[in-house]
Amino acid sequence: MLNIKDLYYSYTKDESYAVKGVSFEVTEGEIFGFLGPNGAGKSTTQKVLTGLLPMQKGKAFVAGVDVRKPNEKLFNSIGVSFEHPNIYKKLSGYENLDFYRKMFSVPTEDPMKLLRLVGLEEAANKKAGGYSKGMKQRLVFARSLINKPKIWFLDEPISGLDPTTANHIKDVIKRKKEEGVTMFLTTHNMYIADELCDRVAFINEGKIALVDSPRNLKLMYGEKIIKVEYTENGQIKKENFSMIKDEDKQKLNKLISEGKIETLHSQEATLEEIFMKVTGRGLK
Amino acid sequence: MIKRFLWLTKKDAVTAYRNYYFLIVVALALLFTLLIRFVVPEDTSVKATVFYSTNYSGELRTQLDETIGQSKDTNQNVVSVDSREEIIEKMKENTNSFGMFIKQGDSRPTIEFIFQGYENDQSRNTLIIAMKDSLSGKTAENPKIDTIVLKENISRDMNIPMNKNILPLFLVMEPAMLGFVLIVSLIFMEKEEGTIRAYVITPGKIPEYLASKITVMVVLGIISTLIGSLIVVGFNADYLSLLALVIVSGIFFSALGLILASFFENISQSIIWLIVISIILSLPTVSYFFPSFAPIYIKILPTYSMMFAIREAVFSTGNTGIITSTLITFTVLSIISYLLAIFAYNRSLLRD
Repeated sequence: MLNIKDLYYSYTKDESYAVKGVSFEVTEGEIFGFLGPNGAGKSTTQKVLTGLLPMQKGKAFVAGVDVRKPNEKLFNSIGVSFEHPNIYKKLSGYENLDFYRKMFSVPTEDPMKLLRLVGLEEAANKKAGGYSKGMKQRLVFARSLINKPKIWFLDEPISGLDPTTANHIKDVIKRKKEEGVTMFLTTHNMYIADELCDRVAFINEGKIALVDSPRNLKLMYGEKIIKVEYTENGQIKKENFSMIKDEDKQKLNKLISEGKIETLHSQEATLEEIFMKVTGRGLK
Repeated sequence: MIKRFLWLTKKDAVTAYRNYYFLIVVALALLFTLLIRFVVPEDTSVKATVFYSTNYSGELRTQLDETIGQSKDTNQNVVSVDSREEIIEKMKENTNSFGMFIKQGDSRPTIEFIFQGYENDQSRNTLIIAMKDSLSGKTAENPKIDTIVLKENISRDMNIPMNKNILPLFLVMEPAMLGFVLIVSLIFMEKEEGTIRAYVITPGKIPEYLASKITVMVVLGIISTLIGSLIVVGFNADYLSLLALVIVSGIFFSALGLILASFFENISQSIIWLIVISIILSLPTVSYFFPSFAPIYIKILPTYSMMFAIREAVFSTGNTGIITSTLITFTVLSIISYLLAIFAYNRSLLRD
């Protein structure tokens, strides 16, 4: 669904590139995470792929359409949920969705159905300018689904949302994945990337550092250690056990069989830790 | 494409309505027309100067001198000159004047009234009757009266009452040019909202996006024109030509506003340019009141020809040539400025 090869982009149209030779592929129904700190090139890549910025160098095909020549087919196939709410403040939530619906030449969703999906049905007829930040973001999220997109671009979809709403939005994303929608998710939030993405790409200073599934990355970069808290002679003790040494494995089995274990944690690496190992900088 | 354009236009009309654009336009039109109808006087001209000369030495000379002398005592603007030629010379220098030359006729004196050409028949007759009244009882028989007109062809234009003569100015500055300012504020509102970025990732195109905004501005212009014209001159105007002129100028000035807005991020950055361009475009108003002042730098401004074409459409004198040529000029200008606006937005609005 997405096929990107040697993509470059420079805002100053010189050798100072914001995106430098980015290449990746995203298959149908996959959630592909683009993980990187602010200014890494995530949003620039997404803008080029959605036609918001012109193609300068490289090749990019989205839904089979050459992004160098964006056409009606491309725009009918994609949905974009922007990070910053960009809605008509003088129109109601319903009018916003209804207006966008009319811009597409493919079958579209019922605006009320989408407003219900994001919990805005009661504010449907209220002017969007009076919405809270979270409500505006949910409206933008709903709008990005209006044309039943085959490829869904999500830019920090849960940023600034309360935990309940964030969970609800994540559920919608998971449901859309089950329906076979391909997703390109840009974020600097390692938890959402870990939870939702089939594969993630680490982007830093305009370059992709690595691409793999969160599970593989954690296995690859995590330590094979289990951290255990157990009781012995009425006292709480903490100990790390290697998953490789036989001596440690036997000792751990003994603790489990004697029922002395209070807590037990595998010491897998977080995506942020892996990102730091790979790029030498954090995600914030 | 047409369907999308209509939905865009509906959205822009709703946005304009909720931003009180319609209310502002209607209120301004009513305010101006009420001022024209009830505040600005129909005639604001100062009292005309009279240049006179006598080349008569007959028996009525004393009575005539006495009558003119009395008039001279009560009015400061009666001036004696040496000859008929000097009367005409002075009248050319002061267009708010008329002349009186007294000469020997066949059997009685002849008073020759010399007019500029813009005085209407009523004011000419009033003047002649006033002179006859002044002489009545002083002479056995009335002198012969002749009238001379310096410029016959300027008479009709100047018959428009002063207050109604302002209407064409209002129509150029308000309905025709309002799109220039309002469309800029509409664009900056959408820039601030960021909604154009959401629009350009739909199959919608920039030409439709811009055309819908221009259409709303033209509709506002038509509403303003109809309110202003119907209240001031009723149905006594060439409305077909007037609306055609307002539509083409509305397209041109709106497209000009779009081009200006494409260079800036917000209204405060563009305000100086908005004011400077508005002032430059308003310069032809000077020529409207003083037609003899029309230097080339004013004549080349599009508002110059539009002003006189709209006056012709409102107060028709049969000079349809100015309407046709202005319509052609503005149609060409509108097409060029619209294409330039599309080019400017394709370049600038997609930049971050």
